[in-house]
Amino acid sequence: MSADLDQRLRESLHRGADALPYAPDLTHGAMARGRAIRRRRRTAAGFGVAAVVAVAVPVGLQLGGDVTGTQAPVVTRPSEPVGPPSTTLDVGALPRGDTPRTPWAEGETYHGGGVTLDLQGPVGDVFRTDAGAYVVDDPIGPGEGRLVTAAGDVQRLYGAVDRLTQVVSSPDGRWTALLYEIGDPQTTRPTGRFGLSVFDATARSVVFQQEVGESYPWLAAVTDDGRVLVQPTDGRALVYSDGDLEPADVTGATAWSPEAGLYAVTTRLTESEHCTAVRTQAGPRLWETCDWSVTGFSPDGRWAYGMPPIPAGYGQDRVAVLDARTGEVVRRVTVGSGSTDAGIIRDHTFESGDTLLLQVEAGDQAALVRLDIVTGEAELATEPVTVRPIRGDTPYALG
Amino acid sequence: MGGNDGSRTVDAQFSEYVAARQHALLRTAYVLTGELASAEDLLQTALAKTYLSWSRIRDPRAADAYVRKIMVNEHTSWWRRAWRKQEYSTAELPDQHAGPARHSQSGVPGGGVEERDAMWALVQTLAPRQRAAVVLRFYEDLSEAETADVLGCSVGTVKSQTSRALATLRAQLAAAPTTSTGGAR
Repeated sequence: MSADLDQRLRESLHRGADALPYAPDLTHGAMARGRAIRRRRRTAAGFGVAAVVAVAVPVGLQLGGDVTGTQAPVVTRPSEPVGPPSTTLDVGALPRGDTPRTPWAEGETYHGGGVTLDLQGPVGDVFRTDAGAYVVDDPIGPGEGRLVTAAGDVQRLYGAVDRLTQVVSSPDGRWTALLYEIGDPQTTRPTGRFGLSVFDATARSVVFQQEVGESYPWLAAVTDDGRVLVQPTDGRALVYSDGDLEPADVTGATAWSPEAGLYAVTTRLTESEHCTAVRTQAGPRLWETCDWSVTGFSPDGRWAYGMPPIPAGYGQDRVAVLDARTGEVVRRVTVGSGSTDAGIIRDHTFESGDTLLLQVEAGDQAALVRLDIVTGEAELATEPVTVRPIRGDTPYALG
Repeated sequence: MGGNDGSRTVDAQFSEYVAARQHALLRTAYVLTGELASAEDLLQTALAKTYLSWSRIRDPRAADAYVRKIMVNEHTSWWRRAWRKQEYSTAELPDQHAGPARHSQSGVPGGGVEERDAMWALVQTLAPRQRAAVVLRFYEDLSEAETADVLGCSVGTVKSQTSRALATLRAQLAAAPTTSTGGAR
């Protein structure tokens, strides 16, 4: 009887599987989703890179990045400037320093603002919003966009079948913008359309929600006065302010620093090339590079964070900090362990004006590392932990 | 454009892997979920996570096991989330034994499905961990130790999960009308 049942079960499962038709190629979709996760953590290059994979943007796409014809002479940085200050992070040899001063999560535990909180669920992103409230999300998959307060209250931030692709908060934590791929309520499958939600922590509610296009739009910045700059795949960026979403005076925006009055914009995007220019809000370009794609500015707008122009989905073998006004590479960062087994940088955040917090992996070890941009000195902000392969992802999330 | 070779190689390797293994992996996903759309979603989710960690998978032969692990855990996670959304008040996850209502939904007695495969329909009613154990043991033909590795549990737990699943299936088959055959002969 038992052997017969086993055999019937075995035959049934194989027969069911045999009836399965061939499905469309899932490769590009999987890679695009993987990159979307990285984008959400601000480790993938900005606007358009996922779209290259997802929708096969034609080679040679030109993005002006400027809406005015007035341009100052552009300083084009030479390829790989000779001898930029370099720092190689050896996780095993770094001294231990203080824990991060910006919000972060290890596993399902949140740390930030003097609070340690068990989030009781998979963590994708953590962002301090205000008054002890934190955004968390499942690393991948639909339906778990949550705002968890220190008191343990949970508030949903978007539809149950939607998939978060990016979340950015204002520096003061009041405003949080969320981009998500809208899911089909019937099948729960992604529709390819994207929505924007704006959450006001003071009001403790989502104050704005609107569809903003297809193929992975990109959040360039959220400001303390409640403005949100979002770049759709095509055309001008959109700026949200006080309940309205209007076209902005910039195209191809990947980053915005209102403090410094600077935009980073994509000027050329092909399957093998991604060039970035930094321009002032008034229009003129200051400099352009095809060696790094700029995905963010430091809080004071002094530094620009650069990633490889065509990023790897799982993390980068090198990143750079550039002078936001001149494009000079002031710090080039790689990961090494003294052997040939180089590591990767999976995420970053500016802890302060001159201090960068990097999520680093080397071999099966992961740690948060603090780097002084100017001096190149580095230290561990957390003890290294062993990466758990089963999660297929990182043990840390940076706010 | 120096420095892109690494990521391109990774992408190329990953693409080659998916092209070669997608259908086999999708079959596993389908047996786990019982529904094509969910199977595609589950596999794509697992592949996205695998892509993120591709640099750590030194041995391509280990990739199948890696994807399989993620699919099993992700599927259980989905099911837990779906259950949570139903706002049940009990603290324990329901052990989703097939009852008459589930039979009716899956069309086992009295429907066209029964002639095709009552067993298949009953497997879909198992609790996700039990279903995963059954799929890994009887579809993937993994050993108890290998199944324990995928599920992240002990061999003893694999034995108990499998035993409970088989007992459920046996009881449901015994209770079903005799027209419910096992299918292939």
